[in-house]
Amino acid sequence: MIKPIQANRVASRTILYILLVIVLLFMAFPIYYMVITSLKTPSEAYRLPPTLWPQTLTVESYPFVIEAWSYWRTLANTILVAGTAALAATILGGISAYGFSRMEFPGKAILYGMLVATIAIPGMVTLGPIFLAYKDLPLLDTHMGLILVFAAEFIPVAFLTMFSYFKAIPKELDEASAVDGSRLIDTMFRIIFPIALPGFAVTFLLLFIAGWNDFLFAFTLTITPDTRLLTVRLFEVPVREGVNRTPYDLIAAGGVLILLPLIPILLRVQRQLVEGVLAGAVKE
Amino acid sequence: MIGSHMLMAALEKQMASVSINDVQKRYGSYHALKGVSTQMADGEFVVLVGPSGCGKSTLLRMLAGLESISEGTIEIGSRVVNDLRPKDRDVALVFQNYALYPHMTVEQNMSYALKLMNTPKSVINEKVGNAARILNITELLKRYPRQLSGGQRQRVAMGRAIVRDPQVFLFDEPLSNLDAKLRVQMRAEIKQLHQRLKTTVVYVTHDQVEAMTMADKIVVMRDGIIEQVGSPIELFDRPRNTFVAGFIGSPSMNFIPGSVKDGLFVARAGVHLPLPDGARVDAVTYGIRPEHLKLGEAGFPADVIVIEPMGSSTQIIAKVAETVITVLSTERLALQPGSTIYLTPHVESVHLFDPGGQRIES
Repeated sequence: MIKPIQANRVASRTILYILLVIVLLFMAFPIYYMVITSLKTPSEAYRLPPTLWPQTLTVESYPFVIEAWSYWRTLANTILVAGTAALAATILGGISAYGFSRMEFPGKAILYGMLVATIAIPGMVTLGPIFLAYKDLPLLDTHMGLILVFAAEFIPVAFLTMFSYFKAIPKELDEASAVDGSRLIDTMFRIIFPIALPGFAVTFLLLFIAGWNDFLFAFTLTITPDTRLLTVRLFEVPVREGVNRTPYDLIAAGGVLILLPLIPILLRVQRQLVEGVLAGAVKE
Repeated sequence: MIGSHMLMAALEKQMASVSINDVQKRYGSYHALKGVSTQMADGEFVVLVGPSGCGKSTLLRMLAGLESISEGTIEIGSRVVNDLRPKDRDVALVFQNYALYPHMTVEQNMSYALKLMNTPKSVINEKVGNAARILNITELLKRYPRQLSGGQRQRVAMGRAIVRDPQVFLFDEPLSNLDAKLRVQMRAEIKQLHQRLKTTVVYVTHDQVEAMTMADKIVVMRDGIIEQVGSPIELFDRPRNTFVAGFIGSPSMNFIPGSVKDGLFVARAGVHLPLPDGARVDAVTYGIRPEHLKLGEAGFPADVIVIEPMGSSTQIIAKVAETVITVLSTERLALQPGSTIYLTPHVESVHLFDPGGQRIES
C-alpha cells in the first residue's frame, strides 16, 4: 500500500522528469542532428525526409572543410582574438569592479550607471561608426582591431560579474590586510584577487565563449582570409566543385568543428560555471 | 651591545600608551562620537563597553586607522597617528569574524604581515612557531581556515596579531561568534595572554561580563560619549549615573522611583525604604543591586512574579510599589509565584540618584 503523500511525491517527481527530458530533447536535438548530418554522405544529407541515423557513416566532409577553411589557422585566430579580449576585459573589469566595490568617490553612482548602460547598446548601432573609424585608423582587417572591440564590449560584463563577486567578499579581509601592513596593491593582488580567482576564471570563460560566438563584428571588421574567425567561415559555406546545391554535410561538419574545441573547456568548468553564475559567495 | 639593544626595546615598549583627546566622528550629519577623551597606560587592558551604536567600535576602528578622525587627536606612544595609515601605526586588530585569509594556511595567515616587512624567513618561522606554541595551535599550521572550528579560528586570529609584536592589540568583539562555553574559556585565555605579553590591549565588547572579568580599566560609552571610566570594582561600587549603574553588574541594579521624606525613601504605594545616614533630599531614584536585598521576616513587602533557580543561587522577579525588581538569594527557597516576600536592603550598598540620573554621593 502506498500512502497518498508518497504517491503524490512520486507523481510530481515523474512529471518533473518528463518535463526535464522534453526540455533536454529540445536543446540537444539540434546538436545531435548537426553531428549525424556531418557524418552523412552529401546525397544522404540532402535527402527528404531526413534520416535520423546515417545509412552510410563517413567522415569525408571533415577533411574537406578543414582544408577549405584553413581550419587550423582560423582556429588559432579565434583563440587569439577571443582569448586576448576576454583576458583584457576580465583584468580591467575586475580591477575597476574592485574599486567600485570598496571605495566611495564623487560621481560613483553616475559612472556605475553609465557602465551598466553600455551593455544595453546594441552592437548594430556602433558597428557602422567603428567600421568607418577603423578604415581610417587603420585597424580594419586586423586582429588588434577585433580584440579592442571585443574587449570594450566585454568590460562592462566583466565589471558586473566581478562587482557582485567582490561584494560577497567580507570587507574585513581588506581591513585585516591593511592593518597587517598591506598597501592597496598588496591587498588587491595578494588577498582579494586570489580569493576571487574562481570568479575571474568563470568571467574569463564566459567572455571567451562570447568572443568565440561573435559573428557580427568579426564578419564586418575582417576582410581577408588571414584574419577571419571560425563563425565567419561558417557563413562562407564551402562548396564542392561541380555541385550546385547547399552542402548540408559540410555546414554541419563546420558547426561541429566550431563547437568541438569548446567542449573540453565546458566540461572542465561546468560545475564552476553554475556556481559562479548563481552566487559569488565566499566561504567564511 | 645586546644589553643596550634590549634596553631600547624595553623603552620603546614603555611608550605604548594610548591617548585619545577630544575625538569626534561625523558621518555626514550623524554625530557618531561627540568628543571622547581618555588615557590608556602602557600594558593596560582597557575594555570599551556599551550598547550597540554607542560608538565603541568606531573608536576602535579609528585607533586602527580604518576610520578617519573628524576632530581631535589620537596618540599611540608619543606619536599622533591621525594621518598615519594602518600599516604605519604598529597595531594589530582581531576581528569579530576573525577575517582570516581563506586562501592561505594558518602558517601563511600568521606570517603575512612579517613577509610584507621583508622579515627573513628564519625569523618568520621562529616567531610563528612561538606564537603557535603560546596559543597551542602548532598542529594546525598547515591547515586552511575552513578546516578549523570557531575556537581554533579565534586562536589563529590572535596568533596573527601576536607575531607582529605590536605596540597595541585591538580586539573588536572577538568572542561574539563563539558558543557560551567556549567564550568563557577564551576569555580566560585572552586575559592570560595579556598577563604574559604585557602589551596594551583595547578590547571592545557589548558584554559587561566580559568587561568586568577582563579589564584593568573599563570605559563605558553611550550615544557617542564616555559615561564613566574606571576599574571594574569602581564602576560597580560607585557608578556615576543610572546608565552605568544599570549597565554594569549582572543581574542589573534595581531602580525604584520615589522621594526622600523624614530620613526614609518613600516609593509609590507608600512603601518605605531605609536610607544611609545623611542622604540628600533631592534623591528620586533608589538603586539597589539584587544581591544586596536580604529576604527575611521583616522589611518591605514584594509580590513574587517568577522564580528562576540557577543552582548556586536563585533569582526572584518580584513587584514592589508598581516597580519590577530582581532579588538574588543564595539560599534554597520554597517560594511560589504570587506569594509575598519581605526584603531588607543592605543600607551601605544603596545608590541614590538625582532627577538628572546623576549619582548622589552620601
